Amino acid sequence: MLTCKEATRLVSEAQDRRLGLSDRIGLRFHLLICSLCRRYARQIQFLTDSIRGSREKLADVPGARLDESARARINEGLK
Amino acid sequence: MVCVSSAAPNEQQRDPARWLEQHGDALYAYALGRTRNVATAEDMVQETLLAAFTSRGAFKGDSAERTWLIGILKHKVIDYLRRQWREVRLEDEAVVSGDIETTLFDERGHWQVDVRDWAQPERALEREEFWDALRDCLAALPERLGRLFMLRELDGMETEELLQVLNISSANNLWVMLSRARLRLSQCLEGKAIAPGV
Repeated sequence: MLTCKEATRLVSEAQDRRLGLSDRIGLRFHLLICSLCRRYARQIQFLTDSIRGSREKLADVPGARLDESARARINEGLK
Repeated sequence: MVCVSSAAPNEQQRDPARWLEQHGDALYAYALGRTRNVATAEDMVQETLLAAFTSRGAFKGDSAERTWLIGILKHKVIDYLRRQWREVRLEDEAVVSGDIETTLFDERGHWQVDVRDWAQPERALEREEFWDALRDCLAALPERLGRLFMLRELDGMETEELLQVLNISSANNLWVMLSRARLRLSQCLEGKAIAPGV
């Protein structure tokens, strides 16, 4: 029987690899009986989907601009 | 050496000064988001434009110019993150990140905090505050965890590539760290009024 700590590990790992059969069964069983881990699993799935679906939006700094002095410096370095 | 004659239209099209003009901000936003360091990001923009000029013959025009430049920048960013990763001391990670599990779970491995139900989280996606909160929470991750998580989720690296790039010996360690990053993100978002469903 998995603990919640172990179950959250597997919830996360499932985002990074395909779990083995016994892990999948163990996790599914734990989620059936544990509402907190069920919520956590939904949160993580939601986060993964949101992040992977909006990579540019999150990874780039929105509205970041090179200021004039940086531009001048870079231009100088290009010569 | 980068003096491009205005008489040669083909050459002029690949003028680094024009790249800086047209794509400088996009390159900078990309580099800044991943390095979190203004000076480093600026240097990378310059290095990218120089490298692009050197290898301009390789640009076939079959991709957008910006995509081509970002591709060059991406390699530089990964090299930088790889160096950074090795420089930050390993023991920091155990101290800074191991505690999240002790905070969240009791000694029997059961939750000792509440986990809220994020009702209809999809609705949050339309709210700019949600993205701001998520950005804040990503930025609040401990340095190494944050970098690792960015490479995994924002650059889409798979386990094998991460192990190789970051020189981590065990996939298991990698998954533990990613799990800790996710526990922290979940906790951080729960602490924000903007958490989905609130």
